[in-house]
Amino acid sequence: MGARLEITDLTAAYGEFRALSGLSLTIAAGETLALVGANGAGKSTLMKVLTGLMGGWQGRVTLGDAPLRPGDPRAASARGIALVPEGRLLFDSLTVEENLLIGASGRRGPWDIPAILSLFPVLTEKRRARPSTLSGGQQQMVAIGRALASNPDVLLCDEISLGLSPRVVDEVYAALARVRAAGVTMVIVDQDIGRVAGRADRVACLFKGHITHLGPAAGTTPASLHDAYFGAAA
Amino acid sequence: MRRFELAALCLAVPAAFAAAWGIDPGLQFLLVEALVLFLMAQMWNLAAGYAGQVSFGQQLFVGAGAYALFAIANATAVPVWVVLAVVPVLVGLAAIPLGMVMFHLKHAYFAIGMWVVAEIAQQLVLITPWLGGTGGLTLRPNGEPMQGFPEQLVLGLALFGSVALVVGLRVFLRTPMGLATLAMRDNPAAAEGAGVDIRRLHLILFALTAAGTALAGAMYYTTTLYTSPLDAFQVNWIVATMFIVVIGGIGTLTGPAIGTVLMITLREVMTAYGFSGDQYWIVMGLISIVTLLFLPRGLWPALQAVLSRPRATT
Amino acid sequence: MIATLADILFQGLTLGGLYGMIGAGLALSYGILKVVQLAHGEFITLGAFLAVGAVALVPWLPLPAALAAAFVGCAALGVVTQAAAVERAMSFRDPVVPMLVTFGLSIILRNGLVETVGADLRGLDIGGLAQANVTIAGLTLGLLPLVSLGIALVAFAGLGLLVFRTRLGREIRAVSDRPDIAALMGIRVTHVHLIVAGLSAGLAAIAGVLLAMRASVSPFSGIGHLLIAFEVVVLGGLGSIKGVLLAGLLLGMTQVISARIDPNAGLLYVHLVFFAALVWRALRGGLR
Repeated sequence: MGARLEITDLTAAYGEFRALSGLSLTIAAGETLALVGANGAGKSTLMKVLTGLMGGWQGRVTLGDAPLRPGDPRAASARGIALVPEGRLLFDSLTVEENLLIGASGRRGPWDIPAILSLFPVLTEKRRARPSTLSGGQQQMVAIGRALASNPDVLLCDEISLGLSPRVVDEVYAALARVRAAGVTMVIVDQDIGRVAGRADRVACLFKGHITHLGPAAGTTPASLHDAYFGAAA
Repeated sequence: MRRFELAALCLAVPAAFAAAWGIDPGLQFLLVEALVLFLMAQMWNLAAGYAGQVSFGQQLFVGAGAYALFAIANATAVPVWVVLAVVPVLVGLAAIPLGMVMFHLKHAYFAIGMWVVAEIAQQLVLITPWLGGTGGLTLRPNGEPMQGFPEQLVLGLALFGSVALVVGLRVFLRTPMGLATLAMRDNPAAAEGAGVDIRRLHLILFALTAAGTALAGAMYYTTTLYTSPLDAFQVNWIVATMFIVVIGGIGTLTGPAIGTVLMITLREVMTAYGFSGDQYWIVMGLISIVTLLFLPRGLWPALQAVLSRPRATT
Repeated sequence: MIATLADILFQGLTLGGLYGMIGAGLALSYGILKVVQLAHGEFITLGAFLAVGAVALVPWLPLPAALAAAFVGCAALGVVTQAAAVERAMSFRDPVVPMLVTFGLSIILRNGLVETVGADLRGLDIGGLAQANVTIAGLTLGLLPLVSLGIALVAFAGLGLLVFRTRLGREIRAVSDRPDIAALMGIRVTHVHLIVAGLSAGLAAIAGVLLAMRASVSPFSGIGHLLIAFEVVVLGGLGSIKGVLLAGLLLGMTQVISARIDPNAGLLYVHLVFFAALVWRALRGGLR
């Protein structure tokens, strides 16, 4: 089941460069948040902070009712945060099935291997294949399946449609809709504002490390986000 | 050339004469060894620290230098000192085709591949009768026993050579090719983008390293008057060289000097207190590991950082 | 003539299995940890001396027990050195640092061995295995090389099963591919590194025991063993257990044949075959 994610006054930097500055955001349990913003706005940094891939940040991130430990990806995984990383980043020394199995680390829940394969039936016959032999869309399905296998409370999807054909993107979003219906909290990053807004409850726009727009997804269009996206509002 | 570099070169000449004729022979041998190790370390540093070509086969060039010198000097009437000048050229040239083959190996593969080549050279000398086989060679220029005290001249040469090498490298690092070398050390990809022919530069530095190491090896074995495959091609050459550079400071010109002084001092002290050679190497191994783990660039860069900090804040 | 040929084939096959065994631990360390374990040769030697020591303590010790003692001892040392030094060295971005650290480690281990056991050559004879023969289809074969080959093959099969058929093996491969994403999957990355380091050193120890039973070893044998291991890994390719075994066979066959022609050549021809393969690869790639 989904969990509430509360981010308060989050600041994260790479050396001199501040990727996130004083960001605050609360995502309700079971909510789907579309996260948009230009390159370098801080979307991927936020993903890294939430998954523990990046430590050394200031502020407070609370999952459910307990704070998250900075820079500890194992703890984040155990607490129920899973990531579909930008560029998929599958394990190519493992078969498709092994990629799914490796995601299933301890947390029990509805997303076992048969459930994931029924979400992505095309993967059933590719179970013994190496991920590198799959199409981009199939690889993205493996990445989502690998993340789901840990039965997460919060599913983070970074650049979910990058490099995929529109038809495949529709398939991916159809699957994500079923995940959403199961009550998992989701954060989806997508360059295509119109597309992701139509599949989310709210839209948040990042610009230079802080939030320039946060509102209901209904009615959000690229044009209505123009100022927030390019920083004119700030 | 800058003024103090010129001054250092000028000072090195009387110092070399003074060392050659004013010091007792025992100390001369120690100094020759220290300077030869310093030269080898500086050459390995040029390849490993600046060009990123870490090699565990440095002993190949030591042995090649020694055997080239002994073979040519023994068989011809050419004076030993002339042969000593020719040997680095020969070994440096021979290194070019070797480099062309070995550069197909990258990083660790190159490092250990060079070690394999050194082993091959050692085994080949071991079974080659006209190079003395397992028995080794005695230095007998033109078939006659060596006259005089070679350690005197070698000490003078090595002392002047060490100063000249450091000055020469300082000057080299200011030339266009030297600047390309520094760029390559700091960021190979960017250097290549800026038009540096990395492969050619690597080959040149490889040949220079081979030549300088061969000269150091030839000088050392001129003072011992005897060389054998198990000695000239021994792994201890690269062990000592690597420890000196790693502890002193890789990719710096001063680091190897500090490393050499530390290493020789520690050895003399430990020997004086009755420790065995094995125990000395264990201690050196520990020091090198601790240095790598806590000061991965070595002592000198760390020292520089400490020394320059007060200045930076004021 | 045919008997001689068969004998050469048999010896090459058994020595090749042993060479593959020598390379296996290094391939594991380099393939998974991306660390060139330069102390690999010393782990092999140490494994041999652990077995020699165990047999000296308990003369009736059976071979499996000697193997286990060597494996456990070396694996423990592999884990300790990984935890104490190599793991930290791996955190530097420069891959040269761990390589130089293991080089320092090899010097410490080699000289430590000389300090404790002396510089002499030692051999290992367990249960009179060295003298025993078996006759198969009219050919008299030494029992020792057969047993040695069997142990090497079992070790290879075990390694293959572990890496490709178990949960641990899955985690090992995942950590090798993408350590940060593996951590995200809840895998203890450092833990896996320690296991791989221990396994690599343990495999080295098994190779060391087999070597000591076949010929004698001294604390200085490590260098030769490291170079053979390296050649096996370069020729066989990383991540391929079959490749490592085949490269071991090529070099083992080379050694057996060259030793017949020139008994004094040592490992010269093994190194030369390796170097020739290298030159061939270089030429095929085009000498620029």
